[in-house]
Amino acid sequence: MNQDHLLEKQETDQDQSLVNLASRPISRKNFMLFSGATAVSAILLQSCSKDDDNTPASADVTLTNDDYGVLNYAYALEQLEAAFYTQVVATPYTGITASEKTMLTDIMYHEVAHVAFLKAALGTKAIGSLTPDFSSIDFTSKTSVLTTAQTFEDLGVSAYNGVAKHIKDANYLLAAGKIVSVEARHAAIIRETLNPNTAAFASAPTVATATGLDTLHTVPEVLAAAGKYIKNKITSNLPTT
Amino acid sequence: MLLQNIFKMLDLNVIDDETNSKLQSRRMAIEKAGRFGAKVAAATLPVVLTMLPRIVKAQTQSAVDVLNYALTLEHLEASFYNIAIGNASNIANGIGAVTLDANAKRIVDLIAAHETAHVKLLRDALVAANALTAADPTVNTYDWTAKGNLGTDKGAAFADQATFLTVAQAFEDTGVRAYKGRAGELVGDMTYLPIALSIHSVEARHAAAIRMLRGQKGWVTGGTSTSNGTPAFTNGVYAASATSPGEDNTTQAGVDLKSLSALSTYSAGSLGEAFDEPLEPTTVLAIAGLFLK
Repeated sequence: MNQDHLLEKQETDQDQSLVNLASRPISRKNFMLFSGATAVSAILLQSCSKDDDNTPASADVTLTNDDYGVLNYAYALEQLEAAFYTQVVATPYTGITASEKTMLTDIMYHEVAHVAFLKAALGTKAIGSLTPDFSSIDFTSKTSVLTTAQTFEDLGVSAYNGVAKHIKDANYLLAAGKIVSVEARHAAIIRETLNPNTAAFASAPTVATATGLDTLHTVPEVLAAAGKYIKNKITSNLPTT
Repeated sequence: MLLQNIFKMLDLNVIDDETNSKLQSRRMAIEKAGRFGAKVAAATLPVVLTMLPRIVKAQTQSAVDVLNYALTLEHLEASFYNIAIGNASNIANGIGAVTLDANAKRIVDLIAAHETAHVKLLRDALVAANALTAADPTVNTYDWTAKGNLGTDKGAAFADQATFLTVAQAFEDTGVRAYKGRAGELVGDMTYLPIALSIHSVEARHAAAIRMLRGQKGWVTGGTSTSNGTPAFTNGVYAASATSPGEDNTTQAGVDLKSLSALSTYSAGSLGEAFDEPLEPTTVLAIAGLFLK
């Protein structure tokens, strides 16, 4: 994919989508593109145009009240994470160490794999590609990036843990379980990197001291928190508890 | 005694599998009744109604088995960490605490508190349900030489920080697989599934922190003990078993990840890291059994 072609395609909503951002292999060419001003300004420009009536809105998506709805819920969150880490790796924050870069690149690979898996598993039931809104994140700042990463990882863990009881198919439950523990591993390492030499890796209130239990969040709680980072309107018909 | 309980649980699992398949067909019947027209539903309704109490009962029995299994594993972990921090006279059998540097201590202290809390939570729930079968550990329950794999001293697992953290990694990574291995038995359980999963993800946080202390990646790297930096006798923690894929698995829910165009440039190692794998009770208890007298 050459740069001109990509620039041209960025004018459509579809190609600024989280999936497409996330699923692009980080070839040298793409890396250069992302690390330059172009990709960042494209994202920022789109953020500015959020309320512009002349810009076509990102397509609304609906989560159905069944296992497909749960998987699409996961797919939406994984799209968000994958796009985020893809941007983090493409435009590393100031002062990033080699080990931090390796760690964040590993996580990017995992999240992109989750996205691709869920998309394939859902097939024709998959919701479309979502459009990120990262205007609140300063990708040059270690604190901003890792704080956002912690938010996303903890949110992901609480989302899977909270919604799992509504999954009807044991195979889908197992698939969710295979992903959520990897997200929890990410969360611990991100927390450690943000607050080294503390108990942050599994500290309260995220992990309750008295019970040793992780946090659960309902679908509405998670979507409310994630909404800040996603342009599309997500309507959920999943249970609210 | 604990071992007897474990074998008893294994027997229960066999019964449970049968119960579960019956349960599935009953559940499907109900779902079908919900989907079809009112006429069909009305005809099916009496059958559905008579089945409901049996479903509730079957699920409770399954949940009880999973909780006792989880408690058995949490007892092992809690005993291990509490001995390590010098907080376990009733199970320590004269074994002293392990000397930890400050960096390890802050992590081990919190994990010990969590594992103790998990034991209390699960035990209280089972006592409340009058269904506690997992035995409380005593000074004679555990073999901290891992059947001699760690050495001959009875406190071999606590000989030094490096040995202790190696065993801790094996326990935590096994714990993560063990919960996943039985999650399917709790499908649709509104009470115990969320609890089991909330413990499961905390075990994964622990695993990542312990791995980091040991200079390993926080996520599981490959399907062998060697690829995860632990001794050969712990290979089962990461390998494929008779019924579970290894941690290097790259096919998920029938999807061959290597065949997906979005992942065409990805290494098999990354794809394996991205998903943790379950482990069935037989293999989990074989690993845990190394630490039982």
